[in-house]
Amino acid sequence: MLSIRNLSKNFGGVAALHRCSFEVKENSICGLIGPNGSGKTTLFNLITGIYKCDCGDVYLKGEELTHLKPHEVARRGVGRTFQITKVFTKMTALENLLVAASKTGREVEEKALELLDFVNLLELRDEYAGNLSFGQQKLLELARVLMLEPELLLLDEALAGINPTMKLRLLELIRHLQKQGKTFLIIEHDMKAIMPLCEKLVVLDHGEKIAEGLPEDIQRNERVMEAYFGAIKC
Amino acid sequence: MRRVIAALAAILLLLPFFASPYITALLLLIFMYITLAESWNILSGYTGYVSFGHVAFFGIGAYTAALLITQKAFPWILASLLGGIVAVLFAGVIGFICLRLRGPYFAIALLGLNEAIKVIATAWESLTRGGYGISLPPVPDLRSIYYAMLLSATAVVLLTYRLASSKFGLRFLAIREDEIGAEGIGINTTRYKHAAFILSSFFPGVVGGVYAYYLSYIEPESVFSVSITVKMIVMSMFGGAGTVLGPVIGAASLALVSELFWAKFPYLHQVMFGALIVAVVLFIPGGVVALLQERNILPRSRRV
Repeated sequence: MLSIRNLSKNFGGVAALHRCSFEVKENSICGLIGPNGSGKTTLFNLITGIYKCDCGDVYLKGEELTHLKPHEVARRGVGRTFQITKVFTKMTALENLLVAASKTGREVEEKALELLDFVNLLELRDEYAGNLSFGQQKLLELARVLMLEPELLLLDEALAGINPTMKLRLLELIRHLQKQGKTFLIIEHDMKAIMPLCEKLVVLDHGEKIAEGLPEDIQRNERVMEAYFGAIKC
Repeated sequence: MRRVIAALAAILLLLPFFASPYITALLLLIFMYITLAESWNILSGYTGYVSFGHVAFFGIGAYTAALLITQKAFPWILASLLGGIVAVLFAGVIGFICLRLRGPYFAIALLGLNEAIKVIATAWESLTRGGYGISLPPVPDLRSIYYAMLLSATAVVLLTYRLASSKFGLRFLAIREDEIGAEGIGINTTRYKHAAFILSSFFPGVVGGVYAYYLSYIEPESVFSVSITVKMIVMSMFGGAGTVLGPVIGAASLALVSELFWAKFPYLHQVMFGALIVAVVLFIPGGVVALLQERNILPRSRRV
């Protein structure tokens, strides 16, 4: 589904991402982990075209995404949420969804209401997004990106900063969407929550991929332990 | 609501036949400021790209019309429309360059641009007669000017109304809210920004032409004056930027107040504008419209 090949990005002298390659299988959930500053969000920004890569390629279902602009990547079926949500705070929850649709009309509105219902925000549809809690904004952002009917969803710290009940709800939604055929690449620090969800984990440290594999193998991987302990010591 | 609008339209259409020339002249200036503030609002209120050089379109329209009237003997209405079209062409080119800039950089680039055009208009004496300015034939009938300004104001308000209640307007707002977020949901922000920029340049160009004809005399300092841009900004923000009615309310009320005060306190009313913009930003960042919406006097709709 998604294929990252040799992707590199430097900021000045800092290698934010160095020759990173991996695949995400169709209809799977892949976790992307690593200490702070390891290059996870940089990778998302490269896939979605916000940054231009220095070298390497990104392919989605065999089609190259590498040099596309962010809005083109979105239209090709890659939906993305942000670490700090980017909902439109001065628009209502419903408007946040409608603005993402390429058409207008009754059908679009029905779809938007359906999605708001899906993330339990139907009653808050006319509330300004800025008045919603952080967790609700995360859900709203997910619903908004689903308006585009993406095949691949990139979630940046999907679970950070939201309460345990909301967390369970969100995990449930992700599973449900996977059943509908969607593919996920998820950045997350809460290992306990994400381990049972993912079929595969990719671990980054200082811009390099240091491990890739089944969650239970990654847990025992020495380089991963080192990377995390090192990060804690600093 | 429809009846109120119909009554207002009837009054405004018939007014010049009853009112004194003073009232007619005052109203036509108010319509001009409504046109300017609402145009500024289409770009800056909706997409958040704050323009500090919007008077450039007004000045370009004024000079285009003045030259066409004096040198090519064009009728003033056609000359003014062409003023709007030249402003649009200009915006098309400038937008291509300037809309890559964000936030304060965009604002400052347009401020500088207007100053540059003012200098060109002053220095290019063979075409513009520089600082001597251009004199136009006198206006035979104030009413025709009144109707031209009324028509411009109505057209730009209707345009904004249409935009605001369409997907287009919502996408402009998305750019204002978070441009990267907007791109993330597949919005081609470059295209929408460009569209907003061009839409916001036409009517200032047109009323610039009408204004030149009305005054019978223009010179660079008066039609490229930064104070006109400042008025557009203050009027829009006072009424409510990013709303349909905000700039109308702001332009009408401030133009009236300004008219009442400037004769008695020619300098003080400039100070007042400055103080007002500070007060608006501090106390009613959403403007009068947002205030009325909070009190439930106006509905919370994008059509307002």
